Amino acid sequence: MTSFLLRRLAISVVVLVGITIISFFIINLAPGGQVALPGSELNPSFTPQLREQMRRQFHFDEPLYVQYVLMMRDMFTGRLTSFADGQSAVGKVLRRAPATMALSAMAFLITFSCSLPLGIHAAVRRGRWQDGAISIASFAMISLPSFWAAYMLVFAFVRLFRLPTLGTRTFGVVFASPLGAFVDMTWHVFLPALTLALAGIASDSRYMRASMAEALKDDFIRTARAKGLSEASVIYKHALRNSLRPIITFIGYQLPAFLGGAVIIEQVFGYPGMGQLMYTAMMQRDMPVIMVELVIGSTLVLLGNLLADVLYGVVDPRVRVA
Amino acid sequence: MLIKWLLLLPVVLLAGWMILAGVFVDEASTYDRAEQLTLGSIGDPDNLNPIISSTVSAAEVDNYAFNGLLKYDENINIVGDLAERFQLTQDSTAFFASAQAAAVAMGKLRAARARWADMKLQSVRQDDDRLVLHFADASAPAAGTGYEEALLAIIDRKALTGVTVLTVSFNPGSGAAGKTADEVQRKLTALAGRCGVRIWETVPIGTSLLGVSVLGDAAAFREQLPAALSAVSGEVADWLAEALLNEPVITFVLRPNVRWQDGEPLTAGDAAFTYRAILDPQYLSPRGSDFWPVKSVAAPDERTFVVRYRYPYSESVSSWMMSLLPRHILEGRSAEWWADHYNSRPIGTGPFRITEWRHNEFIRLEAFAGYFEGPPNLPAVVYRILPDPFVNEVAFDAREFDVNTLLPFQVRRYEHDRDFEVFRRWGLGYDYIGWNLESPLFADKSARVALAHAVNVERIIRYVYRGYARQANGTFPPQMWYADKDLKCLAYDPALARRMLAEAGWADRDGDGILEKDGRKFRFTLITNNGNTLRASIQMLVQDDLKKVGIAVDTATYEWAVFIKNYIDARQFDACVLGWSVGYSFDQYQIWHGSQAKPPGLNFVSYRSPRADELLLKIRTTFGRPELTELCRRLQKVIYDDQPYLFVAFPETVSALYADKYVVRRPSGAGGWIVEPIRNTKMGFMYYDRWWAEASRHPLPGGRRRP
Repeated sequence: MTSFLLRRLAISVVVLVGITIISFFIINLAPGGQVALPGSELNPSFTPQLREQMRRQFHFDEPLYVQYVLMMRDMFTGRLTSFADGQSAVGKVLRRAPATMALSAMAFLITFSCSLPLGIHAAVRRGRWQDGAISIASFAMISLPSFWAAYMLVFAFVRLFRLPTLGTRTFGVVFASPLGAFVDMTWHVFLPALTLALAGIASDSRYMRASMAEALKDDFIRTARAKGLSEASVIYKHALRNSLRPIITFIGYQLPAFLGGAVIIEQVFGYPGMGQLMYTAMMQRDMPVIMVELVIGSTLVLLGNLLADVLYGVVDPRVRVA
Repeated sequence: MLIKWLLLLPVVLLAGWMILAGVFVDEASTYDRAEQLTLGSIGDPDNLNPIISSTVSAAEVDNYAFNGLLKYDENINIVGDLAERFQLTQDSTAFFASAQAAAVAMGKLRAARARWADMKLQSVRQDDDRLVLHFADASAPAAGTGYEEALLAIIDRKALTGVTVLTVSFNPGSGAAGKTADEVQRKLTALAGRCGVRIWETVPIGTSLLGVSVLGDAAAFREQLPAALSAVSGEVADWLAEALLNEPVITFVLRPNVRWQDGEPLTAGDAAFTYRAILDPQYLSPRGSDFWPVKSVAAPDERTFVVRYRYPYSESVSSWMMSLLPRHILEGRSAEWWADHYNSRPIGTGPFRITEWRHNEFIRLEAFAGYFEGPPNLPAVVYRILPDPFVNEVAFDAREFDVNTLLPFQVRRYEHDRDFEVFRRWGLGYDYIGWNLESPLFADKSARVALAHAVNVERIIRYVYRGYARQANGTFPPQMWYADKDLKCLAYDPALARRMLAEAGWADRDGDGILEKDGRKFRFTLITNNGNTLRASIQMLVQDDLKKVGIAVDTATYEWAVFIKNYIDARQFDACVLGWSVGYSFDQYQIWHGSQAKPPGLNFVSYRSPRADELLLKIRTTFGRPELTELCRRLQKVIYDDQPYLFVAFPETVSALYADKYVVRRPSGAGGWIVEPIRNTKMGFMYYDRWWAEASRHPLPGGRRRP
């Protein structure tokens, strides 16, 4: 196991470096070229002399591979500063991390807790109207664009229920106790997490249904029924365990997926997480912040994959990681 | 089965928790929210340091937290802010061929002493082959005004050695490629020697510019200058030929007892420091170009600040509305230190102090009790940053903030709602279609005028701006004192447009509905940046209008950076829909001057008009409102007649405010208070430090009443 882990970690590092190289070159070779402060091109205060200075300060006059090396060096020595406001790029991203972690955790919780029962229910009642209804609902949820769903939720909650929806805390209110502040924060995480989770619930419940239906068709289920076990026991004890295997792997893959899917939703809800920072940085062509987020995001993806592989081995004794 | 209920438990718990949390959040409230003014903003500022920031939202926030030496009052007149008073005088030097000639001129001036008062001339002194004149009012002898003419009539212009003032830029980069100001100066001196002119003075500006004044006939010097400068990767940034060397001087006297928000007193040294910081290349301030004409600054004592200019620069006074920075905090610190310790929570002298900036969430400012005009009535002002116009509107309706800037399609709903007060004022910019004048289609002026007649601007204003705009009649916003707001616009007249095009030789010979001339069809692509529905709508309506006169228009949109780099800066476009936000300044040199036509200048339509060029330079160097008004109006007409743009519309800025909450409360001077409703001015809402929440009669957020 240890050698497996070490090998995987080594490969992950190589993959990570490859990701940074490819991303750096793709982003910088994008049409429009390297821009110091997008939006300032038509600003007369930005004289050619000032632009020259900015180009020099941001190393735009160096060849791309030199810029890459300089940026990586600065990132790991903590000196990397954002093009947009000169603050430490790593600091900027890490300050946003807790909010995104909270959002991902809540989205994961909602997805996991909703999709399992739905999938099981659909599989057990397959062919009947419950299965059809859940399938239709799933397809609807997958088809709806997430930003539209976000708008609709904001609209509904503000217009109909007159509840605050934006940001991480209710604006302009100071809560007497920390518990109150905590409850407020969970409320504000809930709506964006729900939006994020919708697509996840839909797809996960489909996987669960398929996996469960597969398991229910198996011979050992017939044996269990023949032995006289209760239907509940058959489904929840025997079939469920065997159908969980693919779901466990999906969990590992989905955690980092929430990071990426959050970009637009965070923008709509005004939720200050890493996704919104990524969006802003891309609009501003703020290379340092984009690179830091890519490194962190890629690390999470790689770790998630590693976790999924390890879990797979844990859950299924037939699979031994070596 | 136990597992079944265990599976359902998380869902039930989550749902239950969220319902309870929602109820809890709904009930919770304090009065803090009621007392603070909350403003909505779409954009997060880039930087709250006023000399570095370049976004509108940063400028709005800094308005509360900082003061400059001067400010605009509600009628857009320049008045003192941190400066109690200021005075604009001028020292002019007249150069002669010899001390004798100077003495002769001195005699003539003395003889005409009776006329000195008219010219505001206070004293004259001879210094070898020069006369140094001191004017009490700098609007007097500026080039092109009547006073200088009067002076030159007395002295005899022919006896003078002409002066040329120029600014040279060079590459200060490190290593072999970079040069220092000294090396550039030596090069220029050598060149001057070869051309028979004399370099009078050089002034380094920042690290990459050199201000130079040259005596004598500089024609040959000017010709050979680009070649000489190419060795230092330099070029001439500006060039002004004058009869006298005019050096305006602004003297500011600061108010006493002004304190920074950390308690330290404000001194003239802060103003001098701010100037040096703006020109210091490490801070990358975009304000630098406003201060290139400055020769030197001095702070002879704590309350006096003197600025001397190299030549008369009409925006010199307004440039000192620049916010001042605290020297005692920032001097000697690196740009990184500024970014980490100051730029996000700066300290100024304004009525509100920035206490917290959560990026993309809000900026919180709290009242500064030691503000020199008295503590503000409001305890706090908060800028809420909302990411999205739709969400913005929804949040505004839920009373999550008090003032909102409205888009045209939102206005009518708020105008009809008695809970809101809607304030309208003219914006500071305009939208236009820029014709690439290098294209054979648009090089001909009559074609451009025909196009202007062919487009129904009223329709655009009615449906795209919903009536909240007026047709643009030139490049100056109509509410400014220097604009000719009555200049007549070209009327919508498609029949006239067709006639004009026919006269220019365009006809539809092959019956496909598109005009041709010399084998070329009148077809072009109208481009704009994507994400802007207003410009996209203008594209569509213009396309429709032009089709009716036989012109085929294709449209395209591009992402901003691509749009700028590959099309606008590269001059690879036919026509574009864009807008300018011109602000209060009348100096539009960079948009219209012929020298700015080559990339990366902002004159991307390649407009070259000697008459406009002359007017633009005169406007830059003329003080005095009556003269400036005349020059600006002439420029507006010249440009409008030439139609390098199809000037579309001046949009209004419309804001909505909850009607029941705020009033302006000012001390009446006799110990009492004057309470008046919020008024809209040409400058928008003002006196935020005097706004007052009438605590007794406003509703709480969410529509609940106070118990």
